[in-house]
Amino acid sequence: MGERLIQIYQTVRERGGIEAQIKLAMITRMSSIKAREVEDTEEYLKIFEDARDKILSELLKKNTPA
Amino acid sequence: MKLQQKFIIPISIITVVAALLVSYVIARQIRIDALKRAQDVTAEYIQSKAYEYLLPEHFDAPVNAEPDSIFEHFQKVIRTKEVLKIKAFNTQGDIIYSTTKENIGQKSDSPNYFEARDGKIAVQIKPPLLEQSNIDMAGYKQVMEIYVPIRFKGQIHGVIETYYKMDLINESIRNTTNSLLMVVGILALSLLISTYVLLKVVVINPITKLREVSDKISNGVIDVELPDIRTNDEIRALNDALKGVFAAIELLRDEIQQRDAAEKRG
Repeated sequence: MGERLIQIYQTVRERGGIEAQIKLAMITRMSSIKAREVEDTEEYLKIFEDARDKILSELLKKNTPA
Repeated sequence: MKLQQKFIIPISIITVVAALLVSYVIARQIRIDALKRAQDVTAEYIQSKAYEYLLPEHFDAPVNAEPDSIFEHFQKVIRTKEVLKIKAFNTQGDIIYSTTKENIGQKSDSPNYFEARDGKIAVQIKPPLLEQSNIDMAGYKQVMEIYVPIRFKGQIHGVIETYYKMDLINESIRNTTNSLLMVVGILALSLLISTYVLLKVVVINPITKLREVSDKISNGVIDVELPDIRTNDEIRALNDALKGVFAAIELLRDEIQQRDAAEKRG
Protein backbone atom coordinates (compact mmCIF):
# COMPACT_ATOMS: atom_id res chain seq x y z
CA MET A 1 0.00 0.00 0.00
CA GLY A 2 1.41 3.40 -1.05
CA GLU A 3 1.00 5.36 2.17
CA ARG A 4 3.66 7.91 1.36
CA LEU A 5 2.29 8.32 -2.15
CA ILE A 6 -1.18 9.03 -0.72
CA GLN A 7 0.43 11.48 1.69
CA ILE A 8 1.91 13.36 -1.24
CA TYR A 9 -1.54 13.42 -2.87
CA GLN A 10 -2.99 14.92 0.31
CA THR A 11 -0.22 17.53 0.63
CA VAL A 12 -0.80 18.65 -2.94
CA ARG A 13 -4.57 18.76 -2.34
CA GLU A 14 -4.15 20.90 0.79
CA ARG A 15 -1.93 23.39 -0.99
CA GLY A 16 -3.42 23.52 -4.46
CA GLY A 17 -6.82 21.86 -4.38
CA ILE A 18 -8.24 19.46 -6.94
CA GLU A 19 -6.47 21.26 -9.80
CA ALA A 20 -3.05 20.51 -8.28
CA GLN A 21 -4.11 16.93 -7.69
CA ILE A 22 -5.09 16.53 -11.35
CA LYS A 23 -1.68 17.89 -12.30
CA LEU A 24 -0.01 15.37 -9.98
CA ALA A 25 -1.98 12.54 -11.56
CA MET A 26 -1.03 13.70 -15.04
CA ILE A 27 2.68 14.03 -14.22
CA THR A 28 2.98 10.78 -12.28
CA ARG A 29 0.49 8.99 -14.59
CA MET A 30 -1.02 7.43 -11.49
CA SER A 31 -4.36 8.27 -9.92
CA SER A 32 -4.91 8.36 -6.14
CA ILE A 33 -6.82 5.04 -6.41
CA LYS A 34 -3.85 3.37 -8.02
CA ALA A 35 -1.46 5.06 -5.57
CA ARG A 36 -3.35 3.33 -2.78
CA GLU A 37 -2.87 -0.03 -4.47
CA VAL A 38 0.86 0.10 -5.19
CA GLU A 39 3.85 -0.16 -2.84
CA ASP A 40 5.96 2.86 -1.88
CA THR A 41 8.92 1.93 -4.02
CA GLU A 42 11.89 4.24 -4.39
CA GLU A 43 11.10 4.71 -8.05
CA TYR A 44 7.50 5.80 -7.41
CA LEU A 45 8.54 8.00 -4.48
CA LYS A 46 11.10 9.82 -6.61
CA ILE A 47 8.55 10.44 -9.36
CA PHE A 48 5.94 11.66 -6.88
CA GLU A 49 8.32 13.86 -4.88
CA ASP A 50 9.70 15.47 -8.03
CA ALA A 51 6.14 16.09 -9.26
CA ARG A 52 5.06 17.47 -5.89
CA ASP A 53 8.06 19.87 -5.78
CA LYS A 54 7.31 21.04 -9.28
CA ILE A 55 3.62 21.64 -8.59
CA LEU A 56 4.27 23.41 -5.29
CA SER A 57 6.92 25.66 -6.74
CA GLU A 58 4.55 26.56 -9.58
CA LEU A 59 1.86 27.36 -7.01
CA LEU A 60 4.29 29.48 -5.06
CA LYS A 61 5.19 31.42 -8.18
CA LYS A 62 1.52 31.85 -9.02
CA ASN A 63 0.65 33.10 -5.54
CA THR A 64 3.64 35.39 -5.11
CA PRO A 65 2.81 38.96 -6.25
CA ALA A 66 5.21 40.23 -8.92
CA MET B 1 -6.05 6.62 -46.78
CA LYS B 2 -4.67 4.54 -43.92
CA LEU B 3 -1.24 5.27 -42.46
CA GLN B 4 0.02 1.88 -43.66
CA GLN B 5 -0.93 2.64 -47.27
CA LYS B 6 0.41 6.17 -47.02
CA PHE B 7 3.87 4.76 -46.27
CA ILE B 8 3.90 1.51 -48.19
CA ILE B 9 2.66 2.79 -51.56
CA PRO B 10 5.31 5.54 -52.01
CA ILE B 11 8.06 3.33 -50.54
CA SER B 12 7.12 0.52 -52.96
CA ILE B 13 7.10 2.90 -55.92
CA ILE B 14 10.45 4.45 -54.94
CA THR B 15 12.03 1.00 -54.38
CA VAL B 16 10.79 -0.37 -57.72
CA VAL B 17 11.88 2.73 -59.65
CA ALA B 18 15.29 2.75 -57.91
CA ALA B 19 15.77 -0.99 -58.56
CA LEU B 20 14.88 -0.59 -62.24
CA LEU B 21 17.16 2.42 -62.58
CA VAL B 22 20.09 0.69 -60.87
CA SER B 23 19.55 -2.46 -62.96
CA TYR B 24 19.37 -0.46 -66.18
CA VAL B 25 22.52 1.56 -65.43
CA ILE B 26 24.57 -1.49 -64.35
CA ALA B 27 23.29 -3.71 -67.20
CA ARG B 28 24.10 -0.98 -69.71
CA GLN B 29 27.60 -0.59 -68.27
CA ILE B 30 28.15 -4.37 -68.34
CA ARG B 31 27.18 -4.43 -72.03
CA ILE B 32 29.40 -1.46 -72.91
CA ASP B 33 32.38 -2.95 -71.03
CA ALA B 34 31.89 -6.44 -72.49
CA LEU B 35 31.67 -5.15 -76.07
CA LYS B 36 34.63 -2.81 -75.62
CA ARG B 37 36.65 -5.66 -74.19
CA ALA B 38 35.64 -7.96 -77.07
CA GLN B 39 36.60 -5.40 -79.70
CA ASP B 40 39.91 -4.52 -78.00
CA VAL B 41 40.93 -8.15 -77.55
CA THR B 42 39.98 -9.01 -81.14
CA ALA B 43 41.77 -5.97 -82.55
CA GLU B 44 44.88 -6.73 -80.51
CA TYR B 45 44.78 -10.36 -81.61
CA ILE B 46 44.40 -9.44 -85.32
CA GLN B 47 47.24 -6.92 -85.10
CA SER B 48 49.61 -9.34 -83.38
CA LYS B 49 48.83 -12.11 -85.88
CA ALA B 50 49.20 -9.68 -88.78
CA TYR B 51 52.73 -8.77 -87.63
CA GLU B 52 53.49 -12.46 -87.32
CA TYR B 53 52.14 -13.66 -90.67
CA LEU B 54 51.93 -10.65 -92.99
CA LEU B 55 54.36 -8.18 -94.54
CA PRO B 56 53.80 -4.65 -95.94
CA GLU B 57 54.17 -5.95 -99.52
CA HIS B 58 51.14 -8.21 -99.07
CA PHE B 59 49.01 -5.07 -98.76
CA ASP B 60 50.86 -3.09 -101.42
CA ALA B 61 50.72 -5.84 -104.13
CA PRO B 62 48.39 -5.39 -107.13
CA VAL B 63 44.86 -6.64 -106.59
CA ASN B 64 44.32 -10.18 -107.93
CA ALA B 65 41.00 -11.75 -108.68
CA GLU B 66 42.08 -14.93 -106.90
CA PRO B 67 42.57 -14.93 -103.13
CA ASP B 68 46.18 -14.52 -102.10
CA SER B 69 47.37 -17.73 -100.43
CA ILE B 70 49.09 -15.77 -97.63
CA PHE B 71 45.80 -14.12 -96.64
CA GLU B 72 44.08 -17.46 -97.03
CA HIS B 73 46.52 -18.90 -94.51
CA PHE B 74 46.20 -15.82 -92.27
CA GLN B 75 42.42 -16.15 -92.31
CA LYS B 76 42.69 -19.76 -91.14
CA VAL B 77 45.09 -18.74 -88.36
CA ILE B 78 42.88 -16.03 -86.90
CA ARG B 79 39.59 -17.81 -87.35
CA THR B 80 38.01 -18.65 -84.02
CA LYS B 81 34.56 -19.58 -82.79
CA GLU B 82 33.78 -15.87 -82.83
CA VAL B 83 35.80 -14.49 -85.74
CA LEU B 84 33.66 -15.56 -88.71
CA LYS B 85 35.19 -13.96 -91.75
CA ILE B 86 37.70 -11.30 -92.73
CA LYS B 87 38.35 -8.73 -95.40
CA ALA B 88 41.70 -7.10 -96.07
CA PHE B 89 41.98 -3.64 -97.64
CA ASN B 90 44.93 -1.75 -99.03
CA THR B 91 45.25 1.97 -98.33
CA GLN B 92 43.46 2.82 -101.58
CA GLY B 93 40.26 1.19 -100.32
CA ASP B 94 40.53 -1.92 -102.54
CA ILE B 95 39.43 -5.20 -101.05
CA ILE B 96 42.54 -7.31 -101.58
CA TYR B 97 41.23 -10.35 -99.79
CA SER B 98 37.82 -11.52 -98.62
CA THR B 99 36.47 -14.79 -97.37
CA THR B 100 33.78 -14.12 -99.98
CA LYS B 101 35.68 -14.27 -103.27
CA GLU B 102 33.27 -11.99 -105.15
CA ASN B 103 34.22 -9.05 -102.92
CA ILE B 104 37.86 -9.08 -104.00
CA GLY B 105 38.68 -6.09 -106.19
CA GLN B 106 35.71 -4.03 -104.99
CA LYS B 107 36.25 -0.62 -103.42
CA SER B 108 35.17 0.19 -99.89
CA ASP B 109 33.14 3.27 -99.20
CA SER B 110 32.57 2.41 -95.54
CA PRO B 111 33.27 5.29 -93.14
CA ASN B 112 34.65 2.70 -90.74
CA TYR B 113 37.29 1.70 -93.27
CA PHE B 114 38.39 5.35 -93.59
CA GLU B 115 38.45 5.72 -89.83
CA ALA B 116 40.66 2.63 -89.53
CA ARG B 117 42.88 3.84 -92.39
CA ASP B 118 43.39 6.99 -90.30
CA GLY B 119 44.72 4.81 -87.47
CA LYS B 120 41.71 4.21 -85.26
CA ILE B 121 40.01 0.91 -84.53
CA ALA B 122 36.48 1.29 -85.92
CA VAL B 123 33.55 -0.80 -84.87
CA GLN B 124 30.05 -1.28 -86.21
CA ILE B 125 27.51 -3.46 -84.49
CA LYS B 126 24.93 -4.56 -86.99
CA PRO B 127 21.36 -4.98 -85.87
CA PRO B 128 20.33 -8.66 -85.94
CA LEU B 129 17.58 -8.10 -88.53
CA LEU B 130 19.94 -6.72 -91.17
CA GLU B 131 22.26 -9.67 -90.80
CA GLN B 132 19.53 -12.15 -91.59
CA SER B 133 19.58 -10.95 -95.22
CA ASN B 134 23.33 -11.45 -95.48
CA ILE B 135 23.90 -14.96 -96.69
CA ASP B 136 27.43 -15.12 -95.27
CA MET B 137 26.10 -14.36 -91.82
CA ALA B 138 23.11 -16.68 -92.00
CA GLY B 139 22.60 -18.49 -88.73
CA TYR B 140 24.15 -15.73 -86.64
CA LYS B 141 21.86 -13.39 -84.86
CA GLN B 142 24.20 -10.43 -84.65
CA VAL B 143 27.70 -9.54 -85.76
CA MET B 144 30.18 -6.80 -84.95
CA GLU B 145 32.43 -5.54 -87.72
CA ILE B 146 35.84 -4.54 -86.39
CA TYR B 147 38.16 -2.58 -88.67
CA VAL B 148 41.76 -2.87 -87.51
CA PRO B 149 44.53 -0.69 -88.97
CA ILE B 150 47.66 -2.69 -89.78
CA ARG B 151 50.87 -0.77 -89.18
CA PHE B 152 54.39 -1.75 -90.07
CA LYS B 153 57.10 0.50 -88.57
CA GLY B 154 54.48 3.05 -87.59
CA GLN B 155 53.03 3.35 -91.08
CA ILE B 156 49.58 2.07 -91.99
CA HIS B 157 49.70 -0.39 -94.89
CA GLY B 158 46.19 -1.67 -94.80
CA VAL B 159 43.07 -2.49 -92.86
CA ILE B 160 41.70 -5.83 -91.82
CA GLU B 161 37.99 -6.13 -91.18
CA THR B 162 36.76 -9.01 -89.08
CA TYR B 163 33.20 -10.15 -88.55
CA TYR B 164 32.86 -10.96 -84.90
CA LYS B 165 30.00 -13.26 -83.96
CA MET B 166 28.14 -11.66 -81.07
CA ASP B 167 25.91 -14.60 -80.16
CA LEU B 168 28.25 -15.87 -77.44
CA ILE B 169 28.99 -12.48 -75.92
CA ASN B 170 25.31 -11.53 -76.11
CA GLU B 171 24.45 -14.71 -74.26
CA SER B 172 27.05 -13.92 -71.57
CA ILE B 173 25.71 -10.37 -71.26
CA ARG B 174 22.16 -11.71 -71.05
CA ASN B 175 23.11 -14.24 -68.36
CA THR B 176 24.98 -11.60 -66.31
CA THR B 177 22.10 -9.14 -66.70
CA ASN B 178 19.57 -11.76 -65.62
CA SER B 179 21.66 -12.60 -62.54
CA LEU B 180 21.98 -8.90 -61.77
CA LEU B 181 18.23 -8.36 -62.15
CA MET B 182 17.58 -11.29 -59.86
CA VAL B 183 19.97 -9.95 -57.19
CA VAL B 184 18.58 -6.40 -57.43
CA GLY B 185 15.04 -7.82 -57.34
CA ILE B 186 15.76 -9.87 -54.23
CA LEU B 187 17.44 -6.88 -52.57
CA ALA B 188 14.52 -4.60 -53.42
CA LEU B 189 12.02 -7.14 -52.15
CA SER B 190 14.01 -7.65 -48.92
CA LEU B 191 14.17 -3.88 -48.46
CA LEU B 192 10.42 -3.59 -48.99
CA ILE B 193 9.60 -6.43 -46.61
CA SER B 194 11.96 -5.18 -43.88
CA THR B 195 10.61 -1.62 -44.25
CA TYR B 196 7.06 -2.94 -43.99
CA VAL B 197 7.84 -5.08 -40.91
CA LEU B 198 9.71 -2.21 -39.21
CA LEU B 199 6.93 0.22 -39.97
CA LYS B 200 4.32 -2.21 -38.73
CA VAL B 201 6.17 -3.02 -35.49
CA VAL B 202 7.55 0.42 -34.67
CA VAL B 203 4.79 2.75 -35.85
CA ILE B 204 1.56 1.16 -37.04
CA ASN B 205 0.95 -1.43 -34.30
CA PRO B 206 1.44 1.00 -31.35
CA ILE B 207 -0.66 3.67 -33.07
CA THR B 208 -3.39 1.08 -33.77
CA LYS B 209 -3.41 0.16 -30.05
CA LEU B 210 -3.65 3.83 -29.06
CA ARG B 211 -6.45 4.29 -31.57
CA GLU B 212 -8.36 1.35 -30.11
CA VAL B 213 -8.08 2.97 -26.67
CA SER B 214 -9.23 6.36 -27.96
CA ASP B 215 -12.16 4.66 -29.76
CA LYS B 216 -13.22 3.10 -26.44
CA ILE B 217 -13.04 6.47 -24.68
CA SER B 218 -15.12 8.12 -27.39
CA ASN B 219 -17.69 5.38 -26.78
CA GLY B 220 -17.80 6.28 -23.08
CA VAL B 221 -15.59 3.48 -21.77
CA ILE B 222 -12.98 4.90 -19.40
CA ASP B 223 -11.81 1.68 -17.74
CA VAL B 224 -9.19 1.04 -20.33
CA GLU B 225 -5.65 -0.21 -20.05
CA LEU B 226 -3.12 1.65 -22.17
CA PRO B 227 -0.52 -0.46 -24.01
CA ASP B 228 2.93 -0.85 -22.52
CA ILE B 229 5.12 0.82 -25.11
CA ARG B 230 8.81 0.48 -24.31
CA THR B 231 10.35 2.25 -27.29
CA ASN B 232 12.06 5.52 -26.57
CA ASP B 233 10.27 7.65 -29.15
CA GLU B 234 7.36 9.98 -29.88
CA ILE B 235 4.80 7.16 -29.73
CA ARG B 236 5.87 6.30 -26.19
CA ALA B 237 5.67 10.02 -25.28
CA LEU B 238 2.12 10.10 -26.67
CA ASN B 239 1.23 6.93 -24.75
CA ASP B 240 2.70 8.39 -21.54
CA ALA B 241 0.75 11.62 -22.00
CA LEU B 242 -2.45 9.60 -22.46
CA LYS B 243 -1.64 7.65 -19.30
CA GLY B 244 -1.44 10.97 -17.48
CA VAL B 245 -4.84 12.02 -18.85
CA PHE B 246 -6.36 8.68 -17.81
CA ALA B 247 -4.91 9.02 -14.32
CA ALA B 248 -6.52 12.47 -14.09
CA ILE B 249 -9.88 11.11 -15.34
CA GLU B 250 -9.68 8.31 -12.79
CA LEU B 251 -8.92 10.82 -10.04
CA LEU B 252 -11.86 13.01 -11.01
CA ARG B 253 -14.19 10.04 -11.16
CA ASP B 254 -13.06 9.01 -7.68
CA GLU B 255 -13.60 12.57 -6.46
CA ILE B 256 -17.12 12.66 -7.91
CA GLN B 257 -17.95 9.25 -6.43
CA GLN B 258 -16.72 10.40 -3.00
CA ARG B 259 -18.83 13.56 -3.18
CA ASP B 260 -21.91 11.59 -4.25
CA ALA B 261 -21.42 9.21 -1.32
CA ALA B 262 -20.98 12.15 1.11
CA GLU B 263 -24.14 13.78 -0.22
CA LYS B 264 -26.09 10.56 0.22
CA ARG B 265 -24.85 10.19 3.80
CA GLY B 266 -25.46 13.78 4.73
